[in-house]
Amino acid sequence: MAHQAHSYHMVDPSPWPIFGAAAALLTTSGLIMWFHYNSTALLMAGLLSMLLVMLQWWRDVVRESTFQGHHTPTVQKGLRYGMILFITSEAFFFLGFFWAFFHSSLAPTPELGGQWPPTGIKPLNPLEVPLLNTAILLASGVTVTWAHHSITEGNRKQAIHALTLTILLGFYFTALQAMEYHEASFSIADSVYGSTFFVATGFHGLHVIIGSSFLTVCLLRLIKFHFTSNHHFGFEAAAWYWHFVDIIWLFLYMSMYWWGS
Amino acid sequence: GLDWGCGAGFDLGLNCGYGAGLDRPLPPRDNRPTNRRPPAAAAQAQSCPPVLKAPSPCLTAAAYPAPGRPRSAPSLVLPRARASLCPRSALAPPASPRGAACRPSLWPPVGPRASGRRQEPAGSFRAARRRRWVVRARVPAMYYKFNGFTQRLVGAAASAAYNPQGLKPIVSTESPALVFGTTTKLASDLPATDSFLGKNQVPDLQKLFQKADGLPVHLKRGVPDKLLYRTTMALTIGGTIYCLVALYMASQPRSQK
Repeated sequence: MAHQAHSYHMVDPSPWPIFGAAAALLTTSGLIMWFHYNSTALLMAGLLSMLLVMLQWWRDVVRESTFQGHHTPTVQKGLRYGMILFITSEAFFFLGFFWAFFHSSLAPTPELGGQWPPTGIKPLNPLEVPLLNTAILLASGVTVTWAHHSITEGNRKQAIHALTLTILLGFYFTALQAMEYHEASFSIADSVYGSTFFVATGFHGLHVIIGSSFLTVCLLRLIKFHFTSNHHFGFEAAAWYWHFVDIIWLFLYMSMYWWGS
Repeated sequence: GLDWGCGAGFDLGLNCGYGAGLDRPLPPRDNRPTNRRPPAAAAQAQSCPPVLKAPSPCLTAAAYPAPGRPRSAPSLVLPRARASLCPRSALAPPASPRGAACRPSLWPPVGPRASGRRQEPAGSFRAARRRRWVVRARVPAMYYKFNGFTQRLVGAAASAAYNPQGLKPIVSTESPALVFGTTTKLASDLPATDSFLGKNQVPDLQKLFQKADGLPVHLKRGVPDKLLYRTTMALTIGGTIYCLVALYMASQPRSQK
């Protein structure tokens, strides 16, 4: 039987890339059907198929790495590059929304009353729930680092505790932010202030949910003994993503909540 | 240093200078023409069986490392071994031009004693020791630590180097001794900490997913994988058809209500 003479991973043929592309098609055209024709069937089909594809694709990555051993140091290096590039692309994504915010807020138009916040907008107090949210995310950064050190030291129980705490803090942030959205006196339709505020913080909240999900999957894998003390890149990638989410929140807090109020 | 059997009193065919006859004068370490002429061919033939004659000067040249290389890789060239079995053969290195042509390209060019070391008597202990086939890497005395981000070694201070990440002592995983020793079995053979939240099933899953059944990884588990795959395919392909129909209908001009 021929064995590979290189350290790279030649994957088995897989249907998930094309199914993922089809799921993206269904989701986008489903949005059109929902916006213009008041029909959610296509959107639901799109979101469901997207979920199924993600589940199975990442399940296969876990199988290929933990169970089949394909993730050599060379492969892991490629994954590191990939995650860094992805997080960089996300940073540019948020950069766009920050640009929009500063474009509108540094030179407020007469239609806004020539001031920022615009006339009639009562912004959220940055020293109340937003400050608590900042503390929560900073604390979650500490606990995820604690979890990482516990993993490298082989301390399974502590690692599970620290990672669970991180996820709980993430859920706490999401719950508080949802409550803030409900209680805010302005909506997304309230001039460019509402647009920039809710789009930027909304996408950030979505990324917190994504990051919490990633950490939850890592917790399940940690409980199931998938990680070793020196090979746990899935966890490291989740921790990088979580730190990125934290940093984006700090920029959001300083610019929109504090300076912008 | 690595001992390739030289000190054991027998010659493994390695050019280590020790051999059957330590009193035999060893040829000089460079390939320069030497005053010592090889004995006449006839005499050589009489003293050594034909099989022990050096077959070719080129091969013999390979057995002599060029100067300037105090320690060289071992060479398993047989002529040297055969020469050593024959106490009377004084195999001299070939004359320089021929030797230069035959020299393997790996060795640096022979110059007039590039190393500049004084020529010691060929049979001396120190020369012999220096001829031992030992390769020692010379590294500068620096401290390194492992950077977990770039996954490379980077220079570090001594304090950081002696406390590397991930090498703190692991919590002991031995089960405590049974106080009331009975005939009941232990709950599991797992260490105490691993009984927290379940049993390690990774080895079993590794065996399952490494079975040579020709199945691709997304179907490797059998029925549940097939069901999920077929559901996803139905949803995506069905949804794509519905999407194309819906987009076609949406593109038709609407009549006025």
